[in-house]
Amino acid sequence: MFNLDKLYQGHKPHGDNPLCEGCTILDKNKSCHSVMDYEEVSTADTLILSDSIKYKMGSTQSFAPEEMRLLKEFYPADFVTAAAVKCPSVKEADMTANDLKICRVHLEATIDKIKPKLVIPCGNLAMKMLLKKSGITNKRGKSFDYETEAGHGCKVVPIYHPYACIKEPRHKVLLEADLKNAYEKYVLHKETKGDFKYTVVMNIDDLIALSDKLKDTDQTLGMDIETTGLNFLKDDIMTLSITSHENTWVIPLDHRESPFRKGEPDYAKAWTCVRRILENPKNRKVFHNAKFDLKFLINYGMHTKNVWDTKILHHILDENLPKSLMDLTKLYFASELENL
Amino acid sequence: MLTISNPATFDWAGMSLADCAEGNARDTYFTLKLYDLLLEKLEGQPVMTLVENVIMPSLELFSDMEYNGLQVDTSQLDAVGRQLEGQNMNLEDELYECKGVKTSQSFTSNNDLCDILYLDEEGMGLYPPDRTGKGSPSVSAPTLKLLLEHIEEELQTR
Repeated sequence: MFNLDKLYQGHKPHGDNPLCEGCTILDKNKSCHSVMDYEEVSTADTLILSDSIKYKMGSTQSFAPEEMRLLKEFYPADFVTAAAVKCPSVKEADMTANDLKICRVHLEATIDKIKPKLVIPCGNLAMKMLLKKSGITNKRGKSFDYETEAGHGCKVVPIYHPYACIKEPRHKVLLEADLKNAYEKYVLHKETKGDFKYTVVMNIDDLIALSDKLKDTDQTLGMDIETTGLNFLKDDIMTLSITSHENTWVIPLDHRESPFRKGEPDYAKAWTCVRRILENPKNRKVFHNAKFDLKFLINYGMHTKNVWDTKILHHILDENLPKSLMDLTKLYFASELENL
Repeated sequence: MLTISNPATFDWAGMSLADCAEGNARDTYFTLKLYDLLLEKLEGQPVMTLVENVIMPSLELFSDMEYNGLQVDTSQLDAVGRQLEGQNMNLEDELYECKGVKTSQSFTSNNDLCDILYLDEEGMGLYPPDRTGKGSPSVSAPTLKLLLEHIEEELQTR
């Protein structure tokens, strides 16, 4: 019987590349090694990085045709592609820390050759190669600064690998949003100025006036608290923010710089004002992840009436998407953010 | 908070009032914008009656329950636990009656499940829709879901 193992006995890596010296991937049986996929590409605004080279029928490519189709469908402009790891079919588990370090030289050369404004690594391996960070689920859609040793600086926005989106179609919405946001923010530099403005209420008379204004209103208000920690029994509420469609107010409560913190003469008066606003049953108070805020407020003796929660509303709309305020803001209002 | 990139390691208590106020204000600004958008998308959907009359009013109740705790009838909880365990065992017995499943195999073991579904000659002989990073056939929940879809598709076309 034909012994496959013998086929690769004495196998030597093709195209001896001095830059690859010491890489353990070269000892593995691969159809080819060190494919300099960046040699023939010219400069471009956007570089999309795959994990490793794909080798098929004698030719190499960064993405499979189906993955490429998905990227072209979602990315609104032209782009070039390259692989983060220059040997075919290398998985993250195959690579030691030293291999990653050695292979980064090729990646830097790729970026120096293409000189992109925006680099989009797809999947965890490509992100790890570029940013030395893991955890694509938490880091996808965020922006990072990157600079090569030769001095070319660019923005990096990691995304899910298109293969993951083919396997799990629910990720397609995120892939599309991440690609669009990255393009608009860092290639087009598009920015929409929202009508965001806020007032910090530092004086008890202003707080009483605000409370008089909002205690009987039927206008829907957005609300949020900031706390010193996550334990509603031990931690304090630093600030409470209230938004109407016209204005946003921030009331400093137990923040160390607050005029209304525990021990200050206006402490009780301030909380009475807050109570009048929160316990008004006529208007909706909209929180994101309301239960977190409500438990802290209960600990201060505040029983908020007529509460609505955008986290639950979004879950009802689409249970497959991430629901943090950050994720949803990037999904719907990315152009209003300074950075992704 | 939208202005904080790494909330897990951030020193919340040490934050200045100016930073805290800006982040807090941004959060509420986007919360209200999100609310308007979601309400527009959900407007007229039958689920909104449930949202307005049951889900949102229960938030105050659930927060109270989480804050104060709630009394649990442990004997009743045990009884429900035993009932579910019994149902599970019956389902497992039914699975052991399937062709190619040996009594020595456990459904909670990934290796055994892999053998039953894909590898054993006497097993189900299904084609794995996906493989793990190390190359063996995958039995992860999304793969099994995909496998079930493939089987249903196949049965429909026959």
